Amino acid sequence: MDRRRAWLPLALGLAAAPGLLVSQVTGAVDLTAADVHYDGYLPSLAASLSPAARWQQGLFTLDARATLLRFESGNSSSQGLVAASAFTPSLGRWRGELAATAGASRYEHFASYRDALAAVRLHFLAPGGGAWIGVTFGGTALGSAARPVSAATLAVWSVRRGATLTASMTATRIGDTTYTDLSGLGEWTRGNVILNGALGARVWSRFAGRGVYGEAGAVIALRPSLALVFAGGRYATDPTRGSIAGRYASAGLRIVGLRPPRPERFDPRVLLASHRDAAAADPPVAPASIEFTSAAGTCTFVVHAVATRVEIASDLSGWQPVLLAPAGQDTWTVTLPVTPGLHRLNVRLDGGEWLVPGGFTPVADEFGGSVGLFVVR
Amino acid sequence: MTALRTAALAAALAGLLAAHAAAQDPRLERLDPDTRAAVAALVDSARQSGVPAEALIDRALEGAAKQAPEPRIVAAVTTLLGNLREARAALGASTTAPELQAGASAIHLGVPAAALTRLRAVRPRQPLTIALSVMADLTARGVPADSAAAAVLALAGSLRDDQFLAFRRNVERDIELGAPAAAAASSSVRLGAGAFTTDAGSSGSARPLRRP
Repeated sequence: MDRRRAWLPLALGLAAAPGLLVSQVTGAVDLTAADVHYDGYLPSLAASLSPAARWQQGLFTLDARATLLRFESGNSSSQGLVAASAFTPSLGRWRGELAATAGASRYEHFASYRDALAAVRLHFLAPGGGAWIGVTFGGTALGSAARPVSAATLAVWSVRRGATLTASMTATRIGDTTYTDLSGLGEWTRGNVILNGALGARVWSRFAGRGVYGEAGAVIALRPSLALVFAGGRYATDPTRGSIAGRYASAGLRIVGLRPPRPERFDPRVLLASHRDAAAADPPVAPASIEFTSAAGTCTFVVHAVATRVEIASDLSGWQPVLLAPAGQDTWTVTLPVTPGLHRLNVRLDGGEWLVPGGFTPVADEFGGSVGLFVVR
Repeated sequence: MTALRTAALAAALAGLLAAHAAAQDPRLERLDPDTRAAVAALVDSARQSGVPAEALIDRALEGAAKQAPEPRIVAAVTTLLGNLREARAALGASTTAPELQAGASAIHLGVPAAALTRLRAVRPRQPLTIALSVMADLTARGVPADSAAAAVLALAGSLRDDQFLAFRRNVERDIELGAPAAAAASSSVRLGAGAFTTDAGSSGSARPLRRP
């Protein structure tokens, strides 16, 4: 029963996913072998199976993850986790985040942990980096003994050429156990290789140990759906989830499954860096948005705008203004011949300035304004 | 006096050449005479060197539609011609016009020409139009040019065009999601390794479950 409970979060996460937008479900399975040495125990070889899945819709993300570990002794351990996060719309350079997680783990019949946490974070974006401050509340339970959890985190992050760096300080209280961790994380991506490392220190601690710890890892993508993963190092005790400090070295395969093959995760640094120049805060909302579909050499544009007259001009029209036809309230449409490739377009409302409609990539047009880019297959 | 005659002759020839080029494409009539002459000369130069002239005409017409002054239009067309030539040198003489236009856009946005050459090497027999377009689009969205090129090159060997467009949409969605999410993902999530921690995030790598 307890073992089933440990897997429940994953089951819930995966069961919910297909009913949502399948196109935004991504996931992977790790198969690894490890040499692990927990403090106070003999070294042991172990094999692990770790499936994970993510469902993402706009500002909301739902993750589910599990790990099944089998030691050379024949004993096994299991762990499951679901996590959800929702961002608020931005307010200038600020953005809020609400997050929650629920997890459980079990090692044979000796011990089982459960935890449920909720967090509130406030993010600040600056060119090339950002910072956030957050508080976490919840509870953790070993068997029937429950303890409250609270934590506060201050973190800063930065993107530099080829690397993402994060530094943080977290103060945690779990029942009568308190500790503060200083942590630095780094990630460097080059081609099909992602290198990451962490260095931390537990500096103030009551019943949670002290010390310095560090880990390093590498992900080498062999193809978009298959990667080699290597990791090793030493990590600190995590009283929230009942883990103890240890050292390890591991190697394995990562099979990226479900669909799509999550190429956007191939280079997380790209995604992080991508926001740097795309305005540290959100760009101003365009007074018009545009959608398009292309088929059989034509492209149908649908513009949503509050106006009495809507025109577009594009290389598709030889940069002659084309008047759109009304197609419902605040909706306008036109169909133009198109060829595959990168195209440029502007929209004009009621004879005003040429604008870049929301939905297209804005870029300086060399004439003192902006033009929208879009790609047609 | 001889110099004056030579200059007059050159001007007359240039005018005839421009008039000839302009006559080939009536769309250039939308430009004022001075701009038309300068653009026509650039268009003719492009045709002679095998670079697609249509993109140059489009750029000039874009400037005209936006009522840009002549120097800006001529400068934009001149820059585009240079980008197209650079793209052709990087991609090869047999490159199609849409590929050249997408490649020129990528170069204009800062993508190194060497990246285009590598892309051609990775996909020697497949059209590059969409891959180059996505590379340019990512760069325009603020992805550092070398990162955009690296991402497209890394995926070029295995993704189809529709998958490239899906990739672009995913990146766009993540950008809209905001950097904080990416920062959280970067620090605590790797490929499929979602995790939530009370601290700033763990490495999320191939670490074994923390229990003996």
